[in-house]
Amino acid sequence: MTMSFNILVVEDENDVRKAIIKALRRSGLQLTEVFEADSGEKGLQIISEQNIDFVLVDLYLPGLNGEEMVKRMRIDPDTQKLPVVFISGENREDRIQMLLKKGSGFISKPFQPEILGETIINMIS
Amino acid sequence: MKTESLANEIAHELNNLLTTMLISAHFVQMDISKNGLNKEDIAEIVKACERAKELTKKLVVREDLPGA
Repeated sequence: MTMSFNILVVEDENDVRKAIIKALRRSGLQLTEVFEADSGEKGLQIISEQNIDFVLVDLYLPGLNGEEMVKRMRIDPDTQKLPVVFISGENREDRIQMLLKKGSGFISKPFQPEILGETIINMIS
Repeated sequence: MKTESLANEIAHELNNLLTTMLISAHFVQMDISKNGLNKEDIAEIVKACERAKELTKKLVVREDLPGA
């Protein structure tokens, strides 16, 4: 069975967001649509309006940061089980382990593009 | 701005730049392999990005450590 995804990318740096989307489109994943947001607030708005299957979110965003955005998702019954992967330059192992324990994935910046597809497949399967 | 905050901000910005470079270099490397161009230079970019990634790990200051 071929699965097709609606993916949301939340990243405030325009160049990085575009690079992530490019990597997703060349990942071999079946993508129905890729949505993008440059803030946690906009990310939550898109999640409430669209049928999102997977979220990639920068940990450090101005305003509502990625961790706070996901906390709000987890208390909403409609979005509490939505798969999330944090993308960040964070390299403190205790912080990363804390995020992983909460059921989210983690990709360390900078990264080779193929890691995106591999991580998404691993989390969904 | 405290030194550790400045170092962390620089590391954050550097990681963002490296992410864009690494993804773009990876795809250039894939695409030029078809028309015989020398891939070695691009491979060097990818290697440099990976080395810079290790460098930023040294830049991030542990603010939670005593004396940091």
